[in-house]
Amino acid sequence: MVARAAVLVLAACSLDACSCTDSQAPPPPPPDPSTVAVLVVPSRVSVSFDPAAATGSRDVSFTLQVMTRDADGNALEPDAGSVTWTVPAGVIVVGDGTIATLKVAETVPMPFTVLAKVNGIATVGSAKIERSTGTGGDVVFGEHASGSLAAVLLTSGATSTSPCEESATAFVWRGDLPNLRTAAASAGCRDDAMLLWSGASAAQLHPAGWTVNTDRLNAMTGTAPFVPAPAAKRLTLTPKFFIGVSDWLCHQAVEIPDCDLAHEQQWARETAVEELQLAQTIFERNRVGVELVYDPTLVVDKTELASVHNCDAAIQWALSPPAQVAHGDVAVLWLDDLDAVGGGPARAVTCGRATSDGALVLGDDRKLILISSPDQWITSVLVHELGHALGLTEPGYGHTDGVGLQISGFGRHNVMAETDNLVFPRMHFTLGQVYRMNADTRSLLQAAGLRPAGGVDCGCNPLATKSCPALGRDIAPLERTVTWTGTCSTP
Amino acid sequence: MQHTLSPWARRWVALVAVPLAALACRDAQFDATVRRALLCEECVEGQVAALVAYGDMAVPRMVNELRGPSQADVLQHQRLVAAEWQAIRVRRTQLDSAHLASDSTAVATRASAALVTSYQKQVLYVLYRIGTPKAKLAIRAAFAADSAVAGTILKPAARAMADSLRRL
Repeated sequence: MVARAAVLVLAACSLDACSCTDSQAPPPPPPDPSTVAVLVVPSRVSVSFDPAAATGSRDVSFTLQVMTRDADGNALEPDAGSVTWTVPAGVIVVGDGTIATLKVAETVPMPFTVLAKVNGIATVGSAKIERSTGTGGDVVFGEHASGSLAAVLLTSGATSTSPCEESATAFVWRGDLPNLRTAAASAGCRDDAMLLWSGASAAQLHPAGWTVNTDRLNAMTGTAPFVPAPAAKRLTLTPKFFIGVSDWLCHQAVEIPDCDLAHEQQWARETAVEELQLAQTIFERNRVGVELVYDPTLVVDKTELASVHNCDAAIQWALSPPAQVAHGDVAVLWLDDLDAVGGGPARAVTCGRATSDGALVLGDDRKLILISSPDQWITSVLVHELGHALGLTEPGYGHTDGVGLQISGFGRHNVMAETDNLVFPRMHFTLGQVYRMNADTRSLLQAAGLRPAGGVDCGCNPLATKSCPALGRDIAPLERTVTWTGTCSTP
Repeated sequence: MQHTLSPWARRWVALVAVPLAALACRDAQFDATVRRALLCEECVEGQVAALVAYGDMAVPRMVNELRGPSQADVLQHQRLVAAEWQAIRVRRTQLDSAHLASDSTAVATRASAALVTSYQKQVLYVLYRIGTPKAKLAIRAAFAADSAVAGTILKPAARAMADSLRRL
């Protein structure tokens, strides 16, 4: 009878009428976060050889990228150096990282398969390389049949003799995007669209109208070697760190060994650098297009910040002469504690454009991030706040996951997820998020004029694609559906 | 074969099983609310308010949570920190070594202490927000209990917070 009663209890609990199924229900048990698949993007490449080139010297080059997918549907990038490519004879692989350029001679029998093995993962990813059945000498990189339009493409950049000022390996996405900047493109130059830089690679979100022939310019036989962007062209951001912790904890009733101001400041500096390192890594992996720079001379102790516990006080400090936060700056204040913001004592916060009483205004062209030093139990706090600083503030404060939030369906590896789980390290930005970080007028990069392409208002609706790609749009899309239950005051 | 419940069994279902099921569901919902409130980062989504709404019903649980996250959560957290450490290991040597922790153990130890600190502070804040005599008594009792064992229950920042809140 007891067993039957238990079954009845469980059965009753599974009924729709039970509150177990309402919107406040607990999240399901976390899935296995281990990697379940290796992806090669694109998974299918159609190539053809320039008939104008001399016989025997016809070859093509194209780029493949390895990504991994976890059980939650997140597409992630493996560590550099962990990938082994296997190709048939006659194919040359340049680079052993997650992105490799393959040079294929015309004599290589087709179709053939390229395999990618990632250290520590049992499954192997693959891509099929086939001869194009289209007409002309087009070279098509895409997850699509030859001659059709592609959703996501990888292409190599312009040549060293190109008139383009900035070119490199690029992701090209043909989507419902308006022109960010409709400059007249010179012959062979793809600089009419936004380039999102990250080291030697970039994401290019190209307006509609892309054709297979366009890519031919960048990949046909006989072009000079592809060159990365010169360092001077890359967009860099060098956060200023103000270590404002005090030794107040050392003077509590209970004695704390080895506790003094120097110890507290060292702790804060170490944590700050750890968090910046992770932010740099995540920005690179996701091709955010911004190179975060660590400058040890910009890590400064500021004991006068011991009394600062909220944005009001922080903004007042930042704007008081001599101003500590200039146009284009990101200043990170490492503090003893933070006041309750909204619901509870915040562990970190990115200050908005105005203080709570509107008395002080911090322009969008500079950002203040406040970090509560004793509460840094996860290293991804700073990169999460940098996401806010770069415009990820809509909807639902820009947070992407967690029960009760406005938007869900993003993977729990997403950097902008709230940290109410202890299972998934936050490592990923979607392409839609990266686009906003660069293009949205809410982003520091646009407000401060650091990104010269000109901004767009992406609005708050994460599903809309009128002005910007959907927030959840990604190079290797999530398997989970992105849903949104909120409303926009401004569509 | 058809199964029918006896009249007694139907009464049992109505009087015991269904309420038990509802209670179990509510408990699961409560557990999720507690977790969201105590582990949120910016906490601007109403996570804390949802827990405070339970009022005195939440006080015994909060007293229990003052001991910190569960051992399973602490272990999971250490795995999380290790994954983050792994992600930045390549970059580590390129930066200012004077400002870096010496090894992953030091980072994990620090992060674990911060997790417990942050968790305890959040619990205290929830008790403060509940604000009933029972909740205030819980704060005072926590501070007293911690004092009795020379501060080995609460982390220093949490202890300082309890000291402040008990005077309000």
